Amino acid sequence: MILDIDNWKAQIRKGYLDLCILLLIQAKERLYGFDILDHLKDLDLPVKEGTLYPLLNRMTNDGLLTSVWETDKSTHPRKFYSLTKVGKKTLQDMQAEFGKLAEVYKKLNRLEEK
Amino acid sequence: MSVPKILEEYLSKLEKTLGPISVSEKAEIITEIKSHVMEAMDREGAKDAGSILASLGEPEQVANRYLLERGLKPQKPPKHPILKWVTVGFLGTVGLVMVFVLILLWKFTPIIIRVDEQNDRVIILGGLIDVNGSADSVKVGSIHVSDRNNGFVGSMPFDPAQIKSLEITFINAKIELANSNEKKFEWDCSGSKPDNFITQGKDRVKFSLSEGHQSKCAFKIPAGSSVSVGGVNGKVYIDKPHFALSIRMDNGKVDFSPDPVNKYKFVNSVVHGKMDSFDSSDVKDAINISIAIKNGKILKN
Repeated sequence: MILDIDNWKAQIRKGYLDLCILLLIQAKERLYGFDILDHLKDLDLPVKEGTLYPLLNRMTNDGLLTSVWETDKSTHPRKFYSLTKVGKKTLQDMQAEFGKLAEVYKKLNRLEEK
Repeated sequence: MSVPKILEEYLSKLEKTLGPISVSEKAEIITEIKSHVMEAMDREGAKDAGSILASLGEPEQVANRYLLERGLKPQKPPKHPILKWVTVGFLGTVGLVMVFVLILLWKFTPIIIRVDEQNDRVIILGGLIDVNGSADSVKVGSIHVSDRNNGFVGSMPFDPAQIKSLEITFINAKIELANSNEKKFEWDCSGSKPDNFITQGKDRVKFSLSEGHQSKCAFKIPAGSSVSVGGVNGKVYIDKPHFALSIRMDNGKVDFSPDPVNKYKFVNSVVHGKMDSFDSSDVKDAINISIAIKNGKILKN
């Protein structure tokens, strides 16, 4: 059977997306949903809004993110997300794990080339 | 900026499909999605709310993502509109067919009701109720009412000008209605005498042959009266009435002999069974006759 590539992509992206979003918010300190979508699009990692908001909602519930509503500078309130202490710690763990995986991947790639 | 109607509808749908999530969290989610759409409209002024909502996805899909992210069971995926209508259409057709089948069963199953023309009988529920014209009897289960019984006879003064209505009610009886030559209401009944069978109000008289007192009664009624008869199982004979009459009966037979000197205005109906046609007149002084029977027949003598 031919591997369903879209399914594989969706699976690999799931955890990867969490990591990227946490990294992005940490880098910008605080961001609201629309900004996150824009940044990810610029990074060539487009995410559907219908995917992002539930994801942010879950990470907030899990205590990785904290949010605050702000109304100034805009006609409507915006919900700004930033990392909690737990979020920062979790992000470090994630980065370490992903770094390991990337190393393995690199090694395997080199093996193939030889 | 005002909130477009389409967005309001989208948000209320989303809120409904968020199911088990707590009210305050639902509000939070709704506000965020609303904020997103407003932001998108602000940024890309030309873009209308409809296309922004379209790229968000169906509210059910979005709600399901929220539920899935929380490890909750997603709601049923939204049916495609066409599929929905096909389902509605299919179920509707099945329903209609079933109604027709039931009507046909009802009409053609002799167990439920059988009107036997030759032997002058109406048999309901396979003989549980049996109104037998030729044998002059009404039978319900094991109870049998026939002509031969002890009875009770009586009369009371009755001025149709004063008494607006005479009401006769019965369960399982044979009733004859004829004219009285005096201003008197008379009865001649067989069967046992019920307690308080007659009650008189200021302008109405009620005669009830209640259940358990299956009888045969012959009544004489003064001309110009207004009589209403209501009963369940029975047989009613009406002989050349000079009084207005309204009969409501569930199961049984009505025999009506019109008086040729009178004009009558008939309103008759039989749900299951048959009825003869009567000459109905619309003249002003025509006597109103209304007979409604569920199962049985109305005959002209």
